[in-house]
Amino acid sequence: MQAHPLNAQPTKLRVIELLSQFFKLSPIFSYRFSVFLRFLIAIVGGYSFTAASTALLSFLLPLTKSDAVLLCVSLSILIYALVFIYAFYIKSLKTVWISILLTTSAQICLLAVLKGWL
Amino acid sequence: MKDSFFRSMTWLHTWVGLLVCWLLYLIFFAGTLSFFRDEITLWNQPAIHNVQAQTQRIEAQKQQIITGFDYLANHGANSSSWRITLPEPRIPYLIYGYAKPKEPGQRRSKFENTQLNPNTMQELEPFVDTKGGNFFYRLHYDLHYMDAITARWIVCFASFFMLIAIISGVVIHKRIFKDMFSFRRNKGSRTWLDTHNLSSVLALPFHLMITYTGMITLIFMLFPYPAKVTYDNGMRGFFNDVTPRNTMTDKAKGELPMVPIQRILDQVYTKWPHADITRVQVNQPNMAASTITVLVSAGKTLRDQAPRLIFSGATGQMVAKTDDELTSSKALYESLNSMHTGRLATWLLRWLYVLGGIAGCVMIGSGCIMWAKRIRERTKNNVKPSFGLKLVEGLNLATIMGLPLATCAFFIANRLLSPTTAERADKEILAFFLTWLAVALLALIKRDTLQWRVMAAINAVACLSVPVINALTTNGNIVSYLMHKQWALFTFDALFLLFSILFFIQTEKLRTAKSNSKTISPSQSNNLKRQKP
Repeated sequence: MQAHPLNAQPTKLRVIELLSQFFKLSPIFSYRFSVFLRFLIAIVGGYSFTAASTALLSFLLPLTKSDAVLLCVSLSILIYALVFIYAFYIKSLKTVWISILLTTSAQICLLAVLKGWL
Repeated sequence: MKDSFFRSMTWLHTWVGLLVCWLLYLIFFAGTLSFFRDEITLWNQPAIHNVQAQTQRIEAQKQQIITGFDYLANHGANSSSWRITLPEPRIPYLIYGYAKPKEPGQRRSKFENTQLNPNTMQELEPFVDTKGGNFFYRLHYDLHYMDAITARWIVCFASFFMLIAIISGVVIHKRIFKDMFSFRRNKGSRTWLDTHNLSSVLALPFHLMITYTGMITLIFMLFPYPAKVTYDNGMRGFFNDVTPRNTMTDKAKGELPMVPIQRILDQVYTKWPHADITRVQVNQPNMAASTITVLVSAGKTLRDQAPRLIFSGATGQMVAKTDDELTSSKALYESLNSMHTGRLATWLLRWLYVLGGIAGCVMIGSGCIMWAKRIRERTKNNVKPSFGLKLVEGLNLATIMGLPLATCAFFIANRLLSPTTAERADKEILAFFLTWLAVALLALIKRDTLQWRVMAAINAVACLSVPVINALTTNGNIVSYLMHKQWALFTFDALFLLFSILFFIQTEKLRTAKSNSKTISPSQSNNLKRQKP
């Protein structure tokens, strides 16, 4: 009974150790992987952020419906480009991922509450 | 932090640019040609070469429409749709068309068109089957031999990377500027860097504008979410809201004769006394629900959607129209679109658009050549070049030299294919892509200076042959165009002569290029060294 937690702990640690060793042993792979992750968050994350923010903005703007939509779509590429540059501007990959995911989901949640989707 | 920001932007500029540069080159190339869409169509269609521009074009429109309605009532009485396309400054002829019954499997019914010379009202010689300038226009965003929507996503993706490359390029440029004075690089890639900087900086506002607005033209495919969230029935609701349409008589059933077109034209001219009508469209003629749409040219205003009035055919009453004054948001959206398409451009502005487009091609081309040159310079002579380098060099040669040659092939095919060839338009396009494929295959074998020289020479001959073949196969030639003041055709031929000369100069330049040029593959340069005493 006591052996179980003791056994589990080392396995978990060993996986992390192996992974970190793998990354250390192959710096090229780790570099490529981080570049891939950065592009992933810049392209997909940036797209989702823009989609959420323009949708939210068009819903909130005190304009007629068609005006709000046209203004938001006209600005969308600007927003997307700024988020994309941001993803490459911030040094820490973790910060980029967390900030974009958090802001995107916050906007989607707000929109869902306002639209009564929940 | 600042240093790392510059470094990250340099990195971003290089890799984002390299990833999409060949596709971007194609997009810029086809887009630049699209500014001459009507002129290319004119050149491809010898039947309209001798149609003189009308002296009283706008004044003649009323009579042309009335005659058109008589013609269509006689010929297309049972058709579902009529269309009268009036001559425009760049399109000299008149079209009366009616929809043929839809064949099974067709999404839209095809039109039976009659083309007329507006001066004599005589029917023109039969047209040859060609896409003309529309081929380059569609190639610009629909690519070819693939699903249009997929193609548009790919084009948008590349354009977005272009925007990122421009922004990061602006950020790093200051540093490059300093670099140019602080240390001197080998002249080879430095020259390319200068070319790259010059073509980018000179036309920077154009590059930014055309890239941004290009994505705006496809924005409802890219970001439909604002419309989907705001309108209960999504995109359909939005489009119904912004496009004028008949909601008053569209449910009416049965047949009802149309009011005389004169009554509708009177209303148009009361509203717009100097209207330059471009098209009149009739849906469901002689039905109770029939509509007559009159489109006028937006002129020099920043509007992409042509102003229009929609009338009920049965009552002659106006049922819908475009907004006379645009709200700020609509004005923003419309101006972004119209800046991209440049329909408002008269000759001077149109040439500026073209020069901007050429600068874009030079910028992209010099960028990808520079990358290859730099890597070549860093690679030691005894080290085998990497697969990546060979791939980049091959794609550079195939794209930069292949596209002009393919374009020549397209125009030569237009003149040499017999008018009776089945699916002639598709064969012209096939000639374009086969030529490009051939250049790409040659680029697979070798990518050295000699190969570039051979390609430049072939391009020079091909460019020269376009006006020559034109002179041999049609009644006109570059001299007669000049004598008869047919400026569009003259410019077309003259441009090909100019490019022929430019390619000849390139051939000569490449011949005299230093033999120690880094573009020579290592094995060759080793041979050269051995030969030297």
